[in-house]
Amino acid sequence: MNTFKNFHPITLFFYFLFVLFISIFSFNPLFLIFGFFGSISFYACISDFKAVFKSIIFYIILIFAVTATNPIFSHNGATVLFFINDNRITLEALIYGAVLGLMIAVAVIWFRCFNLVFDSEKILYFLGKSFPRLALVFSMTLNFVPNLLRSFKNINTAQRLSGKKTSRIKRYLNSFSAVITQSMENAMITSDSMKARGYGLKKRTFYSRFKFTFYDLTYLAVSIILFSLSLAGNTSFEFYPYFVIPKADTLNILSYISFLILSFVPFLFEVKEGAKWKFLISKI
Amino acid sequence: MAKTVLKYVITIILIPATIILGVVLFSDRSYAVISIAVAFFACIPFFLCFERNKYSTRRIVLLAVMTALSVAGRFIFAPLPFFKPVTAIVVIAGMYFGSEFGFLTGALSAVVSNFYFGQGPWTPFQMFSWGIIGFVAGIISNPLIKNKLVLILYGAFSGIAYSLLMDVWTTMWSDGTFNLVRFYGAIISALPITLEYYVISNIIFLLIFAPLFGKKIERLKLKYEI
Amino acid sequence: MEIFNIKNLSFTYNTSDKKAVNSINMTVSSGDFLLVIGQSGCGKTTLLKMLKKELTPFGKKEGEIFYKGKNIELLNERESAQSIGFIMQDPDSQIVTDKVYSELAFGLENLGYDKEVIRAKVSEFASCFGFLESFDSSVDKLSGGEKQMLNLASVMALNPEVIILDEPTSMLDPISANDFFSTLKRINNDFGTTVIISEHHLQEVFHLADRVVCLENGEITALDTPKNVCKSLKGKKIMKTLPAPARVFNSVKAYGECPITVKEGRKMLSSIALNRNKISSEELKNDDVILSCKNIWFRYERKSKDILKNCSFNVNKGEFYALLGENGCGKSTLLNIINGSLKPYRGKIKCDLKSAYLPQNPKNVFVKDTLEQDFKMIDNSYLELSEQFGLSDFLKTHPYDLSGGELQRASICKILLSNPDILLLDEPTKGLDTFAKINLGSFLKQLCKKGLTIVMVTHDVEFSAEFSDRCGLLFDGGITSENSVREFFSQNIFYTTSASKMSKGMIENAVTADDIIGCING
Repeated sequence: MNTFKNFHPITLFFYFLFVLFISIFSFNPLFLIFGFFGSISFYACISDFKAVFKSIIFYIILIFAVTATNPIFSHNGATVLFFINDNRITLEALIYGAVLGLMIAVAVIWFRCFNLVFDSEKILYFLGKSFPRLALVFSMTLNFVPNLLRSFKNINTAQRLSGKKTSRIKRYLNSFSAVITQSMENAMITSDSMKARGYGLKKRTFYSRFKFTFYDLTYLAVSIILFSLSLAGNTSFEFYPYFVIPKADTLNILSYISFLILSFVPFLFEVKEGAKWKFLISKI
Repeated sequence: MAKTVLKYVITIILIPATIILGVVLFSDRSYAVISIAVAFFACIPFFLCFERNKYSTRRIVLLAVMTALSVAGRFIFAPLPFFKPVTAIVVIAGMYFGSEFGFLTGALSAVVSNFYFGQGPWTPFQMFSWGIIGFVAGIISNPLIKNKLVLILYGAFSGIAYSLLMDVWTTMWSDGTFNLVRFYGAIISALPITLEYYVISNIIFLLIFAPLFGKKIERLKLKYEI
Repeated sequence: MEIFNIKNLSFTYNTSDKKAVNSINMTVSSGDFLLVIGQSGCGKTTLLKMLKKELTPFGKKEGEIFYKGKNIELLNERESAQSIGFIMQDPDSQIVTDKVYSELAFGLENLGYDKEVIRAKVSEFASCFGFLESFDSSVDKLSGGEKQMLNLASVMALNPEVIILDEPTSMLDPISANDFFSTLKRINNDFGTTVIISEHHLQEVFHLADRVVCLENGEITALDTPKNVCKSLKGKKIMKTLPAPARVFNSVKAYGECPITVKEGRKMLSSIALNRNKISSEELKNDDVILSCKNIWFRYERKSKDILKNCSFNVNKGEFYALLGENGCGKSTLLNIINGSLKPYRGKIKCDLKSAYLPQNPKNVFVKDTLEQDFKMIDNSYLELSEQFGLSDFLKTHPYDLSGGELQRASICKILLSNPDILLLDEPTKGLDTFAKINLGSFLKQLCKKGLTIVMVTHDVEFSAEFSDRCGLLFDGGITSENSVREFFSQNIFYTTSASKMSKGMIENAVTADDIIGCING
């Protein structure tokens, strides 16, 4: 089944850039609520239900915590609710805190989605474009890490069963230092293997499996249009000293609708593809 | 050559430009974002150097190995909270292989370990913090290798520095601006952890692993003539 | 056409005065399958590395190597990288990138091909070498055999003229090794790629070779077709490493061509008059059970498959017990249950005595800079034991600088310092050459005589046939056959030594080449 993940990294990157940009900068509760539901519904599609449920609880706690602490640090705002040790606690600061908490939650959820969608191959694609050598080191590191973990496990087992009882921390340190030695010796073999296959010759190319198709272009264009429209309105909220809500004129409503669609693009895509898949299967 | 100069100029212009643009455009929530962008752009000259410089194949592999060691260390010592060898290995990378190598080990360690533990807006900040710790270690490599006291002091310093830099990040991210009160709050609440774990674990790891790496590198030099 | 022409080649390492390779003259023709044999340290690796300019070790080189008539030192870097492929022992460390497809593309990227060419070649070689399923998976999901195959595929993607392999299968299990060799032969046949390979374990590869070169102390002692080389090595120490039929041929009065496969061996044996046609199997009297596993059931996760199902077996005191079985049959798991790392969910293990465990990779036993420091970790009175083990000269040496055989001995010495009664060995012959194996085997036997009990998990049928007392075959989670070594191997048809296969139906109970020789010579 086709999924949102399968888009070209450029399309995906710009999508995440756009939604994160608006989520972080708009500081508009309505935008953030759209973002929250858009991101969490997509997150539910690509990860398992349990994880989403757990994370929702976490975000709610996070939002409350930030809401409660912001007035303690920030004493701006005109509407004073009460005093704590001569410090003004204001309604504006409280609301600001709630929006801030929501913003952090939305950003974190989008980042979680980003982490699930952007696997190493996509990160390498971006690095490889401008920093091919760094991209190679990145890929090598990802290859070495599981090797090191495996050899640590083996060495640690061997040490545990070597006949002498030692404290765990001492054994860990000993085993880790053996991992260091082994990995540095093996590095010499790796570099031989690289040289043997011509590493270091001039004009190295960078291979990636991605192809930018018309499909990718379409989605990129749609994202750009929705993003620009979302920014078109004058939707900024003011918190201090007074809470000022932007006017609900046509342009602003257009912005809200655009961002609503933008936030739900990945979720809708997953739903659409899922339905298409079921339909195709049913025809067989 | 002209191309490199251009690249550097762009970097040098990019950083102030980001700050100005940030302040003008998003007056309110500027600091957090500016800091991310600045931290990110600050890494670019090092990456560009790495692309251009003549690095031997062995050095490139060793860079990947050092990075992998620090990331694997984060996994291996996971049962012991806060007891992580990442900073220590970055310092070691800087002191034995030079400041550029140290910076790259630090920056890459952040990217790669966040690849396992989750990327976030903090990634560039972490890249820069660890990178700069490795960079400074490379500058003062001689005293670090020769004098144990300097090593201990730098271990403590880098633990505190890392913790402070990340506190700056926490403050800006959760407040939007650099709120001094919150910053102090963050420092004070993190103080026991900073002292007890970052500093002490750094010193322990450095005292154990720095001489070890010294010996290993000598050994490799003998055996493989790097 | 000749690919390599080696003229008067000598090489001395900076660290020693002895010539590692000494005045070698030979040519390798295009399309040859050349096998290089010789004891560890005979200069095989040095010679092979010198054929690849990028890997030439540091030291003093005399003489010249010509690749297709061009001096190898003047060969342009690109041509050298592309047309001479090189594969080393360790499957893990040779892999550079994190994904199968990117590893296949690595060499092509280095040579600067464009994306479309790389895409075409990568997909072609992935299907040719069986990586379609795992094309975009992480390298660490592959088994050791698959990793080595990936190394082969990614070298072949460059379309080299010649491919040099330095003991490529020493870290693999026999089945993966066999796969690897047959792929290699296919490459040699289908693409006409020249193959130069050095190996310890000749059983599977000897008959594939067109020519064999034997090195001793850096000099060529024989260079000919496999059959002729076998003949000319008669009486030499290296004889012991040759396939069983050839060993038999050289030790008895036989004429004609030297047999190198089981089929040829049987033909020879049927034409020879035997003095005896039966070897009596000795009774095992010992039944002083010191380790017993009863109805063990084990699985790794709650919902995963059972690895061990109702597995039971006993080990007697002073016995050398070999546990055999295919990859993934649960051998190592069983060993880990005995040593207490894993707990069975049903069943009982009775073992009152102290056991010590030797992991597959003997390097993992060592964590310090010298043997002495490592020994001191366990016990301060290590001097006597290390002398017994012949390690007195190495006490100040870094463990990783020891040779394979020495390292294996040192690791056993270290774990014996804690005075165990049972020794648990996991694949102790992995990566060892024949001579080191013989040393290890006789050494372990001596330990058994002194009252130590050994339980060994292994793929190595030849080694168990020669040295163990009793064998068990683990299959489908349980011991399916168990017997004294002679009975065990003579009753098995597939899972047995080549000597047993060769003498089946002609000599009863013969399991090693020496058994057959004994029966012929009387």
